Formats: sequence, structure tokens, C-alpha cells
Amino acid sequence: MDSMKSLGFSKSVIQKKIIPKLLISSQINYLKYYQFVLWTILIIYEILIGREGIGFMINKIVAYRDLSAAIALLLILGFMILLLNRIYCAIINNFNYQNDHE
Amino acid sequence: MSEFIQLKIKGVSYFLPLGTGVTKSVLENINIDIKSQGGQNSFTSIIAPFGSGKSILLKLICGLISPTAGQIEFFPDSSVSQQNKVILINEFQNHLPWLSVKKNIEFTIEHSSHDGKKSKSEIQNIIDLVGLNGYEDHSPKSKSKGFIFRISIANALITNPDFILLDEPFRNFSSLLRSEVYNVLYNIRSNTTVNFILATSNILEAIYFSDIIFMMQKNPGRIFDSIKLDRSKASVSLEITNYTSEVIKEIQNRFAEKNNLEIINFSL
Repeated sequence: MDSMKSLGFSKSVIQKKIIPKLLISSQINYLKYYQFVLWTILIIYEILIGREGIGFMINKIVAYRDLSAAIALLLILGFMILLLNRIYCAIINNFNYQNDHE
Repeated sequence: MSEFIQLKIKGVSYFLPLGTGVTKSVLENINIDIKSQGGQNSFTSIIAPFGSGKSILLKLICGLISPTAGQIEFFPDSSVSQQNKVILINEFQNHLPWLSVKKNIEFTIEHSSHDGKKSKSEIQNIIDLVGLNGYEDHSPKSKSKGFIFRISIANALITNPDFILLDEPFRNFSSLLRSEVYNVLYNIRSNTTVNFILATSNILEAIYFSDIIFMMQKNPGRIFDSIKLDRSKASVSLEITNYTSEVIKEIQNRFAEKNNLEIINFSL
């Protein structure tokens, strides 16, 4: 923030108009990472517990060796990932100001 | 902008408080005198190893922190706050990444306390000078560091400063990008009356731009020598010429005497 101060920006401009925007941007980058880790942990947990969720379905498909269910699950998952990724990218592009080259 | 500008750093020392009653001497007895006359700007470099206090020295000049001892004075108008005259550009650059080139400059005009350039033609002149003509509505996102540097320089120039301080702004640039931004900086240097102070550990960039190079040792940071350069020979090209290699050798020898040589970067 030193260079911002030297540009003559007041404390309130830096605190109200600059820092919050930079913070949102950095938090979104963390979100990207945590999103991946959380989903992985959740699915592994569901597979191990075998009671509910996608993990439960994978568990049962493996147990019954059901190829059609496996294909159906893959299609559903693929569609969901595609849809959620589109929504996620739209949000990221609006709030992520970090330079791609950094 | 004044016809005659002088920056005088007289016996400046800076002690960093480490804990209760314990301080570390970061800078000791720094004396620098920079003059520019008759509309001619000056380019001063401070070459020093990493961790020698270059950034702290620039923050002191900029008025962001106060020296423990000594004085920093600007002439002819030393009564004006230092922050009205000096802009700092560091490695992280002073740009707003969510705004386009033009909006970055407009934001600076709107919120800066400095009396800078404000008319549309002046804004366009600065955009042209930094080589962003045609990119006015582009945002820095997904652009190179050179693009960001150009916005930072434009933001600084719009405030009409007397001095721009560059704190290792090219540290993580590739050599190709470096030569690109060197040309931009060289162009700005040639077409404005702004004085530059560059803190760097890269000898070649210091030689390419500077009128005078101050050499600084570490632990504590102290200016131990200086060398004046012949501009007509030094800034001929970014390649190593006979004159450049002579100056490099001279600087190497002087640093070798201070055992600070290993941390200085000689490559472009």
C-alpha cells in the first residue's frame, strides 16, 4: 500500500475503495483451492461410510458391478460439473483481479 | 514543475525497533545530493545487494517513514510535503487491477491529493507516452507485467511528480520483458522532466539509465561510493559495449573491496 499512499490516496480511500476489492480477489483464489479439496474429502468420506451421496452411489455401483448405473452417474456428474463450473467461472471473472502472469 | 530541483539527503540514519529497547541499524549516515537544472531531468541509481535497506531509503525519501537521524530536503520548495513531489513504484506496482488503463488514471486524478494533470488531452498524452495507445479500455488482468508497469508509470505521471522512485520494479521480469520496459522508461526519461531514482541490484539497468550510480553496502546500509556516467556512451544500447564493461569492472572492483560482490546481479 506504500505506493498507493505515495500516489496521494487518503487512508479512507485505501481502506474503503482499494483494500476490500483486493481482498475479495485473493479470497476467491483460496476458494478455488478449497472447493477442490472439500469435494474430494466429501466424496471419499461418502464412499467409505457408504450411506449417502455420490460416494454412496459409487460404492453401490462397484458392489453390484452395474455398468449402466456407472455410465448414468458419469453423465449426471459430468453435466453437474460443467454447469457448476460455468457458474463458478462467471463469478470468478467478475471478482478475480489477480494477474494471470503473477 | 520547477526549473531547478534538488534533493538533499543529509546524514540520514534509520534504526528498526526489534523489541523492547533493541534496535537494528538499517541505514547509517546516508548522504546523497541530486540536482536537475534547466528542465533537464536526472536519473540516479542506487545499486545494493538484497536486504541492504534500499526500499527503506526510498520510503524515507518518499516521506512514508521518518528517519531516526538526519534530514531529507527538497529545493527550491522544501516547505511542501515530500509526498506532494515523490511517487514510489515498487515491485507490486501502483495500479488497480480491476480497472482499465483509462479508469486507473481517472481514479488517480479523482482520489489523489496531488495537483496533477487533468485534461483529456493530458491523459491521452501520458497514455501515448507509456505506449498504451489503443489499450485505453483494456484491464491489467491477463496482461503482462510490462503492461502493469506502464499503467503504474502512467498513474505516477498524471500526478505531475518531481521524482519517481523505482524500487526494483523489474525484479521478476523476464529478460525479453525487461528490454521492452527499459525502452518505455527510456522514452519517458527522454520526453519528460521527471527525475528518477532507481534502487536495484542489477548493474546493467543502472548503467543504461543513470547519470550517477550510488553504491551501497549492507549491514548497515551505507553509501560507500558513487560513479558518474557518460550518458552519450552508457545508453547507446542494451548490449554490453566497451564503455559498459569498463564501468561494470569498476563497480565490481569497488564492491569487491566491500565483500558485497556476490549478491549483485550482472545479467540483463
